Amino acid sequence: MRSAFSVYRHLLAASVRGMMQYKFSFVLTAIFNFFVSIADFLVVLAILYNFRAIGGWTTPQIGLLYGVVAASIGIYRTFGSELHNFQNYIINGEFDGLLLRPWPTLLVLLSRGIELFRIGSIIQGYLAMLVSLHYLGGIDGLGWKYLYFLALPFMSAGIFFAIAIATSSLTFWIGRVRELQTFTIYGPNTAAAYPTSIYPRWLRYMLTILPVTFVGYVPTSAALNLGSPAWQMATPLLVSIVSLYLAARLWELGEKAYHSTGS
Amino acid sequence: MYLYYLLGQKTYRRNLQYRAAHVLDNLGSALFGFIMIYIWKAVGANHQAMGDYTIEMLVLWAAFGQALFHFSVQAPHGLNIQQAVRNGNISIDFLRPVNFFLYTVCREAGQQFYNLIYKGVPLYLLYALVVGYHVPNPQSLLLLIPACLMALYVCLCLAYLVGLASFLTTDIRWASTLHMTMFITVSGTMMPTDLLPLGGLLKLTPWATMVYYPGRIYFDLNGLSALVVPLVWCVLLTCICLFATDRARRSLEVQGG
Repeated sequence: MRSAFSVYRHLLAASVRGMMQYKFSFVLTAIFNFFVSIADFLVVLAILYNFRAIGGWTTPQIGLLYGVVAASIGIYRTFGSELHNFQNYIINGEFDGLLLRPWPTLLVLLSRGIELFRIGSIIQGYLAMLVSLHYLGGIDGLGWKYLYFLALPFMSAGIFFAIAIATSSLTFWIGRVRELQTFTIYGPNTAAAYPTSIYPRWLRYMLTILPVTFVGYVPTSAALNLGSPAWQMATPLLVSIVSLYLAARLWELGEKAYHSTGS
Repeated sequence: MYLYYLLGQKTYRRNLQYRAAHVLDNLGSALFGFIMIYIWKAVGANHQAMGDYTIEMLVLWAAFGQALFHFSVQAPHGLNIQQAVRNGNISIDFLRPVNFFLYTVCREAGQQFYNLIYKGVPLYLLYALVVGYHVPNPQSLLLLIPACLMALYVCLCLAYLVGLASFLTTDIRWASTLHMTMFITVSGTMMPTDLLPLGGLLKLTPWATMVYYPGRIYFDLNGLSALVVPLVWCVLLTCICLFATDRARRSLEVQGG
Protein backbone atom coordinates (compact mmCIF):
# COMPACT_ATOMS: atom_id res chain seq x y z
CA MET A 1 0.00 0.00 0.00
CA ARG A 2 2.81 2.38 0.98
CA SER A 3 4.71 1.71 -2.23
CA ALA A 4 1.53 2.24 -4.23
CA PHE A 5 1.14 5.70 -2.71
CA SER A 6 4.81 6.41 -3.32
CA VAL A 7 4.30 5.60 -7.00
CA TYR A 8 1.17 7.74 -7.05
CA ARG A 9 3.15 10.65 -5.55
CA HIS A 10 5.88 10.35 -8.18
CA LEU A 11 3.45 10.07 -11.07
CA LEU A 12 1.51 13.02 -9.66
CA ALA A 13 4.68 15.13 -9.49
CA ALA A 14 5.51 14.23 -13.11
CA SER A 15 2.00 15.20 -14.18
CA VAL A 16 2.25 18.58 -12.41
CA ARG A 17 5.69 19.25 -13.94
CA GLY A 18 4.23 18.58 -17.39
CA MET A 19 1.40 21.03 -16.76
CA MET A 20 3.78 23.74 -15.55
CA GLN A 21 5.42 23.85 -18.98
CA TYR A 22 2.56 26.24 -19.89
CA LYS A 23 2.60 28.54 -16.86
CA PHE A 24 0.79 31.47 -18.51
CA SER A 25 -2.04 29.25 -19.62
CA PHE A 26 -2.15 27.53 -16.22
CA VAL A 27 -2.52 30.79 -14.28
CA LEU A 28 -5.16 32.22 -16.64
CA THR A 29 -7.16 28.98 -16.69
CA ALA A 30 -7.05 28.71 -12.88
CA ILE A 31 -8.34 32.27 -12.53
CA PHE A 32 -11.14 31.82 -15.05
CA ASN A 33 -12.02 28.43 -13.58
CA PHE A 34 -12.62 30.23 -10.30
CA PHE A 35 -15.19 32.43 -12.03
CA VAL A 36 -16.89 29.78 -14.18
CA SER A 37 -17.58 27.59 -11.19
CA ILE A 38 -19.29 30.46 -9.40
CA ALA A 39 -21.25 31.60 -12.47
CA ASP A 40 -24.41 29.57 -11.92
CA PHE A 41 -24.39 30.41 -8.21
CA LEU A 42 -24.29 34.12 -9.04
CA VAL A 43 -27.66 33.70 -10.71
CA VAL A 44 -29.07 32.01 -7.60
CA LEU A 45 -27.52 34.76 -5.45
CA ALA A 46 -29.50 37.25 -7.52
CA ILE A 47 -32.68 35.34 -6.60
CA LEU A 48 -31.65 35.18 -2.93
CA TYR A 49 -30.90 38.91 -2.96
CA ASN A 50 -34.55 39.51 -3.86
CA PHE A 51 -36.28 36.80 -1.82
CA ARG A 52 -33.84 36.15 1.09
CA ALA A 53 -34.62 32.39 1.18
CA ILE A 54 -35.32 29.38 -1.03
CA GLY A 55 -37.40 26.54 0.37
CA GLY A 56 -36.89 27.78 3.96
CA TRP A 57 -33.08 27.91 3.64
CA THR A 58 -31.56 31.34 4.16
CA THR A 59 -28.80 32.85 2.01
CA PRO A 60 -25.88 31.81 4.33
CA GLN A 61 -27.27 28.27 4.67
CA ILE A 62 -27.56 27.86 0.90
CA GLY A 63 -24.14 29.49 0.48
CA LEU A 64 -22.64 26.95 2.85
CA LEU A 65 -24.34 24.03 1.08
CA TYR A 66 -23.20 25.37 -2.27
CA GLY A 67 -19.62 25.85 -0.99
CA VAL A 68 -19.38 22.29 0.35
CA VAL A 69 -20.60 20.79 -2.94
CA ALA A 70 -18.43 23.11 -5.09
CA ALA A 71 -15.28 22.29 -3.10
CA SER A 72 -16.07 18.54 -3.18
CA ILE A 73 -16.59 18.41 -6.94
CA GLY A 74 -13.53 20.66 -7.32
CA ILE A 75 -11.39 18.08 -5.50
CA TYR A 76 -12.73 15.34 -7.75
CA ARG A 77 -12.27 17.34 -10.97
CA THR A 78 -8.71 18.30 -9.96
CA PHE A 79 -7.45 14.85 -9.02
CA GLY A 80 -9.82 12.57 -10.94
CA SER A 81 -9.91 14.33 -14.31
CA GLU A 82 -8.62 11.30 -16.20
CA LEU A 83 -11.69 9.33 -15.11
CA HIS A 84 -13.69 11.92 -17.04
CA ASN A 85 -11.75 11.06 -20.20
CA PHE A 86 -11.57 7.31 -19.61
CA GLN A 87 -13.69 6.36 -22.63
CA ASN A 88 -10.82 7.56 -24.87
CA TYR A 89 -8.61 4.80 -23.44
CA ILE A 90 -11.09 2.15 -24.53
CA ILE A 91 -12.02 3.71 -27.88
CA ASN A 92 -8.36 4.31 -28.87
CA GLY A 93 -7.13 1.01 -27.44
CA GLU A 94 -4.85 2.78 -24.93
CA PHE A 95 -6.07 0.77 -21.97
CA ASP A 96 -3.67 -2.03 -22.93
CA GLY A 97 -0.84 0.33 -22.01
CA LEU A 98 -2.23 0.72 -18.50
CA LEU A 99 -2.54 -3.05 -18.09
CA LEU A 100 1.17 -3.46 -18.84
CA ARG A 101 2.12 -1.36 -15.80
CA PRO A 102 2.91 -3.26 -12.60
CA TRP A 103 0.36 -1.18 -10.66
CA PRO A 104 -3.42 -1.20 -10.34
CA THR A 105 -4.88 0.47 -13.43
CA LEU A 106 -7.05 2.77 -11.33
CA LEU A 107 -3.98 4.06 -9.48
CA VAL A 108 -2.09 4.80 -12.70
CA LEU A 109 -5.18 6.42 -14.22
CA LEU A 110 -5.73 8.69 -11.22
CA SER A 111 -2.13 9.86 -11.29
CA ARG A 112 -2.45 11.04 -14.90
CA GLY A 113 -3.76 14.33 -16.19
CA ILE A 114 -4.06 16.10 -12.84
CA GLU A 115 -5.87 19.36 -13.62
CA LEU A 116 -4.37 21.65 -11.00
CA PHE A 117 -5.91 24.68 -12.69
CA ARG A 118 -9.23 23.48 -11.27
CA ILE A 119 -7.91 24.40 -7.84
CA GLY A 120 -9.71 27.71 -8.53
CA SER A 121 -13.06 25.95 -8.04
CA ILE A 122 -11.89 24.43 -4.72
CA ILE A 123 -10.79 27.87 -3.51
CA GLN A 124 -14.08 29.35 -4.67
CA GLY A 125 -16.05 26.65 -2.78
CA TYR A 126 -14.07 27.29 0.40
CA LEU A 127 -14.51 31.06 0.03
CA ALA A 128 -18.29 30.60 -0.22
CA MET A 129 -18.14 28.36 2.86
CA LEU A 130 -16.03 30.79 4.92
CA VAL A 131 -18.28 33.75 4.13
CA SER A 132 -21.40 31.70 4.89
CA LEU A 133 -19.91 30.29 8.12
CA HIS A 134 -19.16 33.84 9.21
CA TYR A 135 -22.83 34.80 8.82
CA LEU A 136 -23.91 31.60 10.58
CA GLY A 137 -22.03 32.55 13.74
CA GLY A 138 -18.39 31.88 12.90
CA ILE A 139 -16.17 29.70 15.05
CA ASP A 140 -17.63 31.17 18.25
CA GLY A 141 -21.20 30.33 17.37
CA LEU A 142 -20.59 26.97 15.67
CA GLY A 143 -17.72 25.62 17.80
CA TRP A 144 -16.37 22.27 16.58
CA LYS A 145 -18.92 22.19 13.78
CA TYR A 146 -16.92 24.99 12.14
CA LEU A 147 -13.99 22.59 11.72
CA TYR A 148 -16.39 19.83 10.67
CA PHE A 149 -17.59 21.97 7.76
CA LEU A 150 -14.02 22.75 6.72
CA ALA A 151 -13.23 19.01 6.59
CA LEU A 152 -16.56 18.09 4.95
CA PRO A 153 -15.51 18.54 1.27
CA PHE A 154 -12.67 16.05 1.73
CA MET A 155 -15.08 13.49 3.22
CA SER A 156 -17.70 14.10 0.55
CA ALA A 157 -15.34 14.15 -2.45
CA GLY A 158 -15.12 10.35 -2.13
CA ILE A 159 -18.75 10.15 -3.26
CA PHE A 160 -17.94 11.94 -6.53
CA PHE A 161 -14.87 9.72 -7.05
CA ALA A 162 -17.06 6.65 -6.49
CA ILE A 163 -19.72 7.81 -8.96
CA ALA A 164 -17.04 8.66 -11.52
CA ILE A 165 -15.30 5.28 -11.12
CA ALA A 166 -18.62 3.43 -11.39
CA THR A 167 -19.61 5.43 -14.49
CA SER A 168 -16.19 4.91 -16.11
CA SER A 169 -16.38 1.18 -15.34
CA LEU A 170 -19.37 0.94 -17.62
CA THR A 171 -17.06 1.91 -20.49
CA PHE A 172 -15.72 -1.66 -20.43
CA TRP A 173 -19.13 -2.87 -21.55
CA ILE A 174 -20.75 -0.02 -23.47
CA GLY A 175 -17.75 1.87 -24.91
CA ARG A 176 -18.98 5.47 -24.59
CA VAL A 177 -19.98 7.08 -21.28
CA ARG A 178 -19.40 10.81 -21.90
CA GLU A 179 -23.14 11.43 -22.21
CA LEU A 180 -23.87 9.24 -19.19
CA GLN A 181 -21.55 11.42 -17.10
CA THR A 182 -23.90 14.37 -17.56
CA PHE A 183 -26.64 12.25 -16.03
CA THR A 184 -24.64 10.65 -13.21
CA ILE A 185 -22.17 13.39 -12.20
CA TYR A 186 -22.67 16.89 -13.59
CA GLY A 187 -26.46 17.17 -13.41
CA PRO A 188 -26.67 15.64 -9.91
CA ASN A 189 -23.70 17.76 -8.77
CA THR A 190 -25.57 20.94 -9.72
CA ALA A 191 -28.78 19.64 -8.12
CA ALA A 192 -26.90 18.77 -4.90
CA ALA A 193 -25.80 22.40 -4.47
CA TYR A 194 -29.35 23.40 -3.46
CA PRO A 195 -31.59 22.02 -0.69
CA THR A 196 -32.88 18.61 -1.78
CA SER A 197 -36.15 19.43 0.00
CA ILE A 198 -37.20 21.83 -2.80
CA TYR A 199 -37.25 19.01 -5.36
CA PRO A 200 -40.17 16.65 -6.08
CA ARG A 201 -40.09 13.12 -4.71
CA TRP A 202 -38.72 11.43 -7.90
CA LEU A 203 -35.73 13.78 -7.96
CA ARG A 204 -35.09 13.37 -4.23
CA TYR A 205 -35.02 9.57 -4.68
CA MET A 206 -32.65 9.92 -7.61
CA LEU A 207 -30.24 12.14 -5.67
CA THR A 208 -30.32 9.67 -2.76
CA ILE A 209 -29.59 6.63 -4.93
CA LEU A 210 -26.77 8.34 -6.83
CA PRO A 211 -26.03 9.43 -3.79
CA VAL A 212 -25.09 13.12 -4.05
CA THR A 213 -27.60 14.27 -1.44
CA PHE A 214 -25.06 13.01 1.15
CA VAL A 215 -22.37 15.32 -0.23
CA GLY A 216 -23.82 18.50 1.25
CA TYR A 217 -27.55 18.55 1.99
CA VAL A 218 -27.79 15.78 4.60
CA PRO A 219 -24.66 16.72 6.64
CA THR A 220 -25.37 20.47 6.45
CA SER A 221 -28.98 19.92 7.45
CA ALA A 222 -27.83 17.72 10.37
CA ALA A 223 -25.08 20.07 11.55
CA LEU A 224 -27.28 23.18 11.40
CA ASN A 225 -30.29 21.41 12.99
CA LEU A 226 -32.45 21.95 9.92
CA GLY A 227 -34.39 18.71 10.16
CA SER A 228 -31.90 15.86 9.92
CA PRO A 229 -30.72 14.02 13.09
CA ALA A 230 -27.16 14.76 14.29
CA TRP A 231 -25.81 11.27 13.55
CA GLN A 232 -26.28 11.96 9.85
CA MET A 233 -23.25 14.23 10.02
CA ALA A 234 -21.28 10.98 9.66
CA THR A 235 -23.03 9.96 6.44
CA PRO A 236 -20.63 11.64 3.95
CA LEU A 237 -17.72 9.58 5.25
CA LEU A 238 -19.73 6.36 5.52
CA VAL A 239 -21.33 6.74 2.10
CA SER A 240 -17.92 7.64 0.59
CA ILE A 241 -16.31 4.47 1.97
CA VAL A 242 -19.15 2.14 0.96
CA SER A 243 -19.62 3.67 -2.50
CA LEU A 244 -15.86 3.69 -3.20
CA TYR A 245 -15.68 0.01 -2.24
CA LEU A 246 -18.60 -0.88 -4.53
CA ALA A 247 -17.20 1.24 -7.38
CA ALA A 248 -13.78 -0.45 -7.07
CA ARG A 249 -15.47 -3.88 -7.28
CA LEU A 250 -17.35 -2.78 -10.40
CA TRP A 251 -14.08 -1.56 -11.91
CA GLU A 252 -12.49 -4.98 -11.27
CA LEU A 253 -15.43 -6.69 -12.94
CA GLY A 254 -15.07 -4.35 -15.90
CA GLU A 255 -11.36 -5.10 -16.19
CA LYS A 256 -12.13 -8.81 -16.34
CA ALA A 257 -14.69 -8.20 -19.08
CA TYR A 258 -12.22 -6.08 -21.11
CA HIS A 259 -10.78 -7.56 -24.27
CA SER A 260 -7.97 -5.85 -26.12
CA THR A 261 -8.48 -4.09 -29.43
CA GLY A 262 -5.02 -4.90 -30.79
CA SER A 263 -3.64 -7.93 -32.62
CA MET B 1 -23.83 29.04 -51.00
CA TYR B 2 -24.88 25.45 -51.69
CA LEU B 3 -21.41 24.34 -50.61
CA TYR B 4 -21.88 25.88 -47.15
CA TYR B 5 -25.29 24.24 -46.88
CA LEU B 6 -23.67 20.87 -47.70
CA LEU B 7 -21.03 21.39 -45.00
CA GLY B 8 -23.71 21.94 -42.38
CA GLN B 9 -25.74 19.02 -43.64
CA LYS B 10 -22.73 16.71 -43.42
CA THR B 11 -22.15 17.57 -39.76
CA TYR B 12 -25.85 17.10 -39.07
CA ARG B 13 -25.79 13.62 -40.66
CA ARG B 14 -22.62 12.64 -38.80
CA ASN B 15 -24.35 13.42 -35.51
CA LEU B 16 -27.29 11.20 -36.42
CA GLN B 17 -24.98 8.23 -35.74
CA TYR B 18 -24.99 9.03 -32.01
CA ARG B 19 -28.70 9.48 -31.38
CA ALA B 20 -28.89 6.77 -28.70
CA ALA B 21 -26.00 8.28 -26.72
CA HIS B 22 -27.63 11.70 -26.97
CA VAL B 23 -30.82 10.39 -25.38
CA LEU B 24 -28.77 9.79 -22.21
CA ASP B 25 -27.23 13.24 -22.54
CA ASN B 26 -30.74 14.68 -22.77
CA LEU B 27 -31.67 13.12 -19.44
CA GLY B 28 -28.68 14.80 -17.82
CA SER B 29 -29.42 18.10 -19.54
CA ALA B 30 -33.05 17.91 -18.44
CA LEU B 31 -31.84 17.90 -14.84
CA PHE B 32 -30.25 21.36 -15.21
CA GLY B 33 -33.57 22.80 -16.33
CA PHE B 34 -35.48 21.01 -13.58
CA ILE B 35 -33.13 22.47 -10.95
CA MET B 36 -33.98 26.03 -11.99
CA ILE B 37 -37.66 25.15 -12.40
CA TYR B 38 -37.89 23.85 -8.82
CA ILE B 39 -35.84 26.74 -7.45
CA TRP B 40 -38.41 29.11 -8.98
CA LYS B 41 -41.27 26.96 -7.72
CA ALA B 42 -39.79 27.04 -4.19
CA VAL B 43 -39.56 30.84 -4.42
CA GLY B 44 -43.11 30.95 -5.80
CA ALA B 45 -44.48 29.40 -2.61
CA ASN B 46 -44.15 32.80 -0.90
CA HIS B 47 -43.80 35.30 -3.74
CA GLN B 48 -45.68 36.24 -6.88
CA ALA B 49 -43.22 38.07 -9.12
CA MET B 50 -39.68 39.31 -9.72
CA GLY B 51 -39.32 42.49 -11.78
CA ASP B 52 -41.59 42.33 -14.84
CA TYR B 53 -41.91 38.57 -14.62
CA THR B 54 -44.40 36.45 -12.69
CA ILE B 55 -42.95 33.37 -10.98
CA GLU B 56 -45.07 31.19 -13.28
CA MET B 57 -43.44 32.87 -16.28
CA LEU B 58 -39.97 32.37 -14.77
CA VAL B 59 -40.66 28.64 -14.37
CA LEU B 60 -41.53 28.44 -18.07
CA TRP B 61 -38.55 30.68 -18.89
CA ALA B 62 -36.19 28.15 -17.24
CA ALA B 63 -37.70 25.41 -19.44
CA PHE B 64 -37.44 27.53 -22.61
CA GLY B 65 -33.86 28.58 -21.75
CA GLN B 66 -32.70 25.02 -21.22
CA ALA B 67 -34.34 23.83 -24.44
CA LEU B 68 -32.66 26.62 -26.43
CA PHE B 69 -29.33 26.17 -24.65
CA HIS B 70 -28.02 23.38 -26.90
CA PHE B 71 -28.94 25.30 -30.05
CA SER B 72 -27.93 28.88 -29.45
CA VAL B 73 -25.65 28.85 -26.39
CA GLN B 74 -23.41 25.85 -26.25
CA ALA B 75 -21.23 25.28 -29.31
CA PRO B 76 -18.16 23.00 -29.45
CA HIS B 77 -15.21 24.62 -27.64
CA GLY B 78 -13.42 26.89 -30.09
CA LEU B 79 -15.32 25.16 -32.93
CA ASN B 80 -12.43 22.64 -32.87
CA ILE B 81 -10.09 25.20 -34.50
CA GLN B 82 -7.54 24.67 -31.72
CA GLN B 83 -7.17 20.99 -32.69
CA ALA B 84 -6.49 21.93 -36.30
CA VAL B 85 -3.86 24.43 -35.13
CA ARG B 86 -2.22 21.88 -32.87
CA ASN B 87 -2.03 19.06 -35.42
CA GLY B 88 -1.21 21.30 -38.37
CA ASN B 89 -4.39 20.68 -40.35
CA ILE B 90 -5.09 24.39 -40.19
CA SER B 91 -2.71 24.94 -43.12
CA ILE B 92 -4.89 22.62 -45.25
CA ASP B 93 -8.04 24.37 -44.02
CA PHE B 94 -6.61 27.72 -45.11
CA LEU B 95 -5.74 26.29 -48.54
CA ARG B 96 -9.36 25.36 -49.25
CA PRO B 97 -11.00 27.56 -51.89
CA VAL B 98 -13.64 28.74 -49.43
CA ASN B 99 -13.79 31.43 -46.81
CA PHE B 100 -12.36 29.84 -43.62
CA PHE B 101 -14.74 31.72 -41.32
CA LEU B 102 -17.86 30.69 -43.26
CA TYR B 103 -16.49 27.18 -43.75
CA THR B 104 -16.04 26.70 -39.99
CA VAL B 105 -19.28 28.38 -38.92
CA CYS B 106 -21.44 26.50 -41.46
CA ARG B 107 -19.78 23.18 -40.60
CA GLU B 108 -20.61 23.62 -36.91
CA ALA B 109 -24.09 25.03 -37.60
CA GLY B 110 -25.08 21.52 -38.76
CA GLN B 111 -24.40 20.22 -35.26
CA GLN B 112 -26.42 23.02 -33.66
CA PHE B 113 -29.44 22.21 -35.85
CA TYR B 114 -29.06 18.58 -34.92
CA ASN B 115 -29.02 19.68 -31.25
CA LEU B 116 -32.18 21.71 -31.76
CA ILE B 117 -34.10 18.77 -33.22
CA TYR B 118 -32.74 15.92 -31.09
CA LYS B 119 -32.04 17.78 -27.83
CA GLY B 120 -33.92 21.08 -27.67
CA VAL B 121 -37.32 19.89 -28.91
CA PRO B 122 -37.44 16.67 -26.79
CA LEU B 123 -36.37 18.66 -23.73
CA TYR B 124 -39.05 21.27 -24.30
CA LEU B 125 -41.71 18.59 -24.74
CA LEU B 126 -40.58 16.94 -21.50
CA TYR B 127 -40.77 20.24 -19.61
CA ALA B 128 -44.14 21.00 -21.22
CA LEU B 129 -45.50 17.72 -19.86
CA VAL B 130 -44.19 18.42 -16.35
CA VAL B 131 -44.61 22.18 -15.86
CA GLY B 132 -46.77 23.35 -18.77
CA TYR B 133 -46.00 25.64 -21.70
CA HIS B 134 -46.62 29.09 -23.12
CA VAL B 135 -48.22 29.63 -26.51
CA PRO B 136 -46.85 32.84 -28.08
CA ASN B 137 -48.99 34.93 -30.40
CA PRO B 138 -48.44 34.40 -34.17
CA GLN B 139 -46.41 37.61 -34.57
CA SER B 140 -44.03 36.56 -31.79
CA LEU B 141 -43.73 33.12 -33.29
CA LEU B 142 -42.70 34.68 -36.59
CA LEU B 143 -40.12 36.93 -34.91
CA LEU B 144 -38.77 34.02 -32.91
CA ILE B 145 -37.24 32.45 -36.03
CA PRO B 146 -34.84 35.32 -36.90
CA ALA B 147 -34.16 35.85 -33.17
CA CYS B 148 -33.07 32.21 -32.77
CA LEU B 149 -31.04 32.24 -36.00
CA MET B 150 -29.21 35.40 -34.92
CA ALA B 151 -28.66 33.85 -31.47
CA LEU B 152 -27.07 30.85 -33.16
CA TYR B 153 -24.89 33.04 -35.38
CA VAL B 154 -23.64 35.13 -32.44
CA CYS B 155 -22.94 31.93 -30.48
CA LEU B 156 -20.90 30.49 -33.36
CA CYS B 157 -19.01 33.77 -33.92
CA LEU B 158 -18.00 33.96 -30.25
CA ALA B 159 -16.92 30.30 -30.22
CA TYR B 160 -14.99 30.98 -33.45
CA LEU B 161 -13.09 33.85 -31.79
CA VAL B 162 -12.29 31.54 -28.85
CA GLY B 163 -10.91 29.04 -31.37
CA LEU B 164 -8.83 31.71 -33.09
CA ALA B 165 -7.16 32.43 -29.73
CA SER B 166 -5.20 29.22 -30.38
CA PHE B 167 -3.10 31.24 -32.86
CA LEU B 168 -1.88 33.29 -29.88
CA THR B 169 -1.47 30.58 -27.22
CA THR B 170 -1.27 26.80 -27.39
CA ASP B 171 -3.89 26.32 -24.69
CA ILE B 172 -7.21 28.14 -25.13
CA ARG B 173 -8.98 26.74 -22.08
CA TRP B 174 -8.80 30.18 -20.43
CA ALA B 175 -10.62 31.84 -23.35
CA SER B 176 -13.13 29.02 -23.46
CA THR B 177 -13.72 29.26 -19.70
CA LEU B 178 -14.18 33.03 -19.88
CA HIS B 179 -16.74 32.58 -22.67
CA MET B 180 -18.48 29.83 -20.69
CA THR B 181 -18.68 32.00 -17.55
CA MET B 182 -20.33 34.75 -19.55
CA PHE B 183 -22.86 32.56 -21.32
CA ILE B 184 -23.89 30.72 -18.15
CA THR B 185 -24.46 33.97 -16.29
CA VAL B 186 -25.54 36.48 -18.91
CA SER B 187 -27.24 34.53 -21.72
CA GLY B 188 -30.55 34.31 -19.85
CA THR B 189 -30.62 30.50 -19.79
CA MET B 190 -31.30 30.36 -16.05
CA MET B 191 -33.15 33.65 -15.60
CA PRO B 192 -33.84 36.76 -17.69
CA THR B 193 -30.66 38.85 -18.03
CA ASP B 194 -32.38 42.07 -16.95
CA LEU B 195 -33.07 40.59 -13.50
CA LEU B 196 -29.34 40.25 -12.78
CA PRO B 197 -27.42 43.01 -11.01
CA LEU B 198 -26.27 45.44 -13.75
CA GLY B 199 -28.91 43.79 -15.94
CA GLY B 200 -29.46 46.99 -17.93
CA LEU B 201 -25.85 46.85 -19.08
CA LEU B 202 -25.52 43.05 -19.37
CA LYS B 203 -28.48 42.79 -21.74
CA LEU B 204 -26.48 44.78 -24.29
CA THR B 205 -23.67 42.21 -24.38
CA PRO B 206 -23.50 39.59 -27.18
CA TRP B 207 -24.16 36.75 -24.73
CA ALA B 208 -27.61 38.19 -23.94
CA THR B 209 -28.64 37.65 -27.57
CA MET B 210 -28.41 33.87 -27.08
CA VAL B 211 -31.54 33.33 -24.94
CA TYR B 212 -32.63 36.64 -23.41
CA TYR B 213 -33.96 38.30 -26.59
CA PRO B 214 -35.54 35.12 -28.06
CA GLY B 215 -37.12 34.64 -24.60
CA ARG B 216 -38.52 38.18 -24.52
CA ILE B 217 -40.10 37.55 -27.94
CA TYR B 218 -41.36 34.08 -27.03
CA PHE B 219 -43.14 35.40 -23.94
CA ASP B 220 -44.69 38.29 -25.95
CA LEU B 221 -42.78 40.88 -23.89
CA ASN B 222 -41.10 42.51 -26.92
CA GLY B 223 -41.74 42.77 -30.63
CA LEU B 224 -39.45 43.81 -33.45
CA SER B 225 -37.36 45.95 -31.05
CA ALA B 226 -35.89 42.77 -29.53
CA LEU B 227 -34.08 42.11 -32.81
CA VAL B 228 -32.06 45.34 -32.78
CA VAL B 229 -29.32 44.35 -30.32
CA PRO B 230 -28.83 40.87 -31.88
CA LEU B 231 -28.66 42.41 -35.36
CA VAL B 232 -26.01 44.93 -34.29
CA TRP B 233 -23.93 42.12 -32.75
CA CYS B 234 -24.29 39.96 -35.87
CA VAL B 235 -22.84 42.74 -38.02
CA LEU B 236 -20.12 43.68 -35.52
CA LEU B 237 -19.03 40.09 -34.90
CA THR B 238 -18.93 39.31 -38.63
CA CYS B 239 -16.50 42.20 -39.12
CA ILE B 240 -14.41 41.17 -36.09
CA CYS B 241 -14.28 37.52 -37.18
CA LEU B 242 -13.26 38.37 -40.76
CA PHE B 243 -10.59 40.78 -39.52
CA ALA B 244 -9.29 38.25 -36.94
CA THR B 245 -9.22 35.49 -39.60
CA ASP B 246 -7.13 37.69 -41.86
CA ARG B 247 -4.66 38.41 -39.02
CA ALA B 248 -4.52 34.73 -38.09
CA ARG B 249 -3.80 33.75 -41.71
CA ARG B 250 -0.90 36.20 -41.82
CA SER B 251 0.55 34.98 -38.52
CA LEU B 252 0.41 31.29 -39.49
CA GLU B 253 3.76 29.56 -39.67
CA VAL B 254 3.85 26.11 -41.25
CA GLN B 255 6.72 23.98 -40.03
CA GLY B 256 8.06 20.82 -41.56
CA GLY B 257 8.74 19.72 -45.12
